[in-house]
Amino acid sequence: MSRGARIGALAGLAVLAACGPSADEPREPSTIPAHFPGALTVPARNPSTARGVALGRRLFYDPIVSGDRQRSCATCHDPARAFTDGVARSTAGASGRRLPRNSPTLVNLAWGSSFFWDGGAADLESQAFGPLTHPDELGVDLVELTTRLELDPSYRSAFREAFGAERIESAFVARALAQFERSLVSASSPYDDHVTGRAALDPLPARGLGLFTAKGCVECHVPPLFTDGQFHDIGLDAGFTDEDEGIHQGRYRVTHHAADLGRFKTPTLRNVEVTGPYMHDGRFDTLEQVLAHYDHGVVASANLDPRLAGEGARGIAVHDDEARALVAFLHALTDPQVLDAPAHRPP
Amino acid sequence: MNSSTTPRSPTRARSRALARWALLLASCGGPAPAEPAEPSGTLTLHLHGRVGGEALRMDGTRYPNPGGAGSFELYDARVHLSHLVLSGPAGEVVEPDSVHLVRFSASGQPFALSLEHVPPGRYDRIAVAIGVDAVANARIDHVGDLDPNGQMAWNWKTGYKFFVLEGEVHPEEGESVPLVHHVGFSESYRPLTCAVPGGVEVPRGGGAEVDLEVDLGQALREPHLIDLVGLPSVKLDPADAALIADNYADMISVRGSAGEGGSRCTVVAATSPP
Repeated sequence: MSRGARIGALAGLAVLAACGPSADEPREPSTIPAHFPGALTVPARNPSTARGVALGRRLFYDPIVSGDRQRSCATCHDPARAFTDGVARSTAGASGRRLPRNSPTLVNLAWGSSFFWDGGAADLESQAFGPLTHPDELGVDLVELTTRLELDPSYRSAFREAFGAERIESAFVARALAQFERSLVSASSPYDDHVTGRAALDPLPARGLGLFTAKGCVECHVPPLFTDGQFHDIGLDAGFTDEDEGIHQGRYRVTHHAADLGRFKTPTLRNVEVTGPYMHDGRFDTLEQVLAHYDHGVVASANLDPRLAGEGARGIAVHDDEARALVAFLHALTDPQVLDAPAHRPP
Repeated sequence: MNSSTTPRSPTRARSRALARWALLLASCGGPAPAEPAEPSGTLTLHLHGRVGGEALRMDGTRYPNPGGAGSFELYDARVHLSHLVLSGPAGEVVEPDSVHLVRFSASGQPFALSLEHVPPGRYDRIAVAIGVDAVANARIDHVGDLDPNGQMAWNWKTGYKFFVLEGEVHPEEGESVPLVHHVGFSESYRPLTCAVPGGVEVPRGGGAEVDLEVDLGQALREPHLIDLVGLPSVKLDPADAALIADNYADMISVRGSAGEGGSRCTVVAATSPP
């Protein structure tokens, strides 16, 4: 937890203590794995507590958060798939229209510095309002949502206990969801056992790890989070249409800087075995197709990452046997504990 | 929305501190001490929507396209005002957590915005900002008038729309198109200062009123003349937003009282959010 967040948590605790017996102590999203960065991106205004996480978990799986009460966050974020949905672009939202982007993995978000494929959301609390209100996603009116929650005595007491709130505000809905999402920590894969010395990788994934480093994959998919949190053009397309309010233009949509046209956020590779299809628009079904893209599918564009724009041949050469080793390594990033954790499942 | 006000003077600061302690203690469930007795009044700002020289009407009334042929009509108009400060011989009164979502009504009724607990006396200046400051704009999990349920929060980028005009543009030829001007981004924040002609006296224990005119047409007129046929939508492009923000900085004026002329509010610092 950042120093500011720790101070905020302590300040919150002090106020609660002044009021006598009260809610549980602010706490970090979970025990921070020793080989993970120490600094979390937790806003001081929303320190995680057991009650906040539990409330967020309940909301995450409750169709009450959708306009027609037919879908929840978990509709597109299935815990068995590391909180993805297994389709390229979902049509499971309220309107039934196909979404323009692939549903992202929701693990290790406590270390994230921006959200959405273009980084448009500054924090998880602000991000939550996007899917809640978008007519192609959950499509709920926020006044309607808080009214529904107020009518449920168990939610009223849960919000009071989590936030000291006598009235349920949409801000508390977002904060509870953010707390639950920050609790989804994935750090128990075979790779983690390898780097912490608990168990060595098998030979094939171990070779894949070496290739992952040697070929430079590691430069954007930086361990241990396997993302740099930055935005890159990896040569998927030669141009980027401004249709649909710029949603196909990547980071440019947010910054309007020419250098950001076509740049999308680096996704984490943790649990990537179960999070396909891949890329911001889900265009590749398999990891082999992804590697084939890097080997011979990279196209030139104005902002193509220079590491992929080598002279002569663009991309990263990946021979078939190397691809097998790389895929084996990527499978070693699968974390059964995060996929099966009862605390991540519906309450 | 927080409608109480914070006076700045040693005595008033002490009262404010006591009041806050009262609030803190009350929130713990214990008996709250009596609030310090400070005779105060209420100042109500009435915001009158205008388009040019006419009262705003959202009933199908068509207004000339400022920068070209054709016309437009409005269905909805909203603006965030923040950082209200009264000043004058009576001192300076700063409204804490000052943010107001002003919604103009289709019926033409002015939007009333009340500042309570105003120390009595004479005030001759109002400071107010169009938009919310960069700190507030950096997240959207706010309560009150910044609650995203006010439909002023973006859903694609963290931040708020500061100014919304929605309606329809009717070109001279061809089909009508939606008018959607959603102006946000911290660069569009405009702090203003407004002289109150003749001043306003807030009586002890009573109320006073000031009428402000908000000329929505000015948001399309000067210094950037907007052809709505060419620019029916302003949303994501900061350059488009800057045009409207430069214009709306001049859209508010204070009506004069009897015998006094009106006074246009002026920008304090064009693009320097605090």
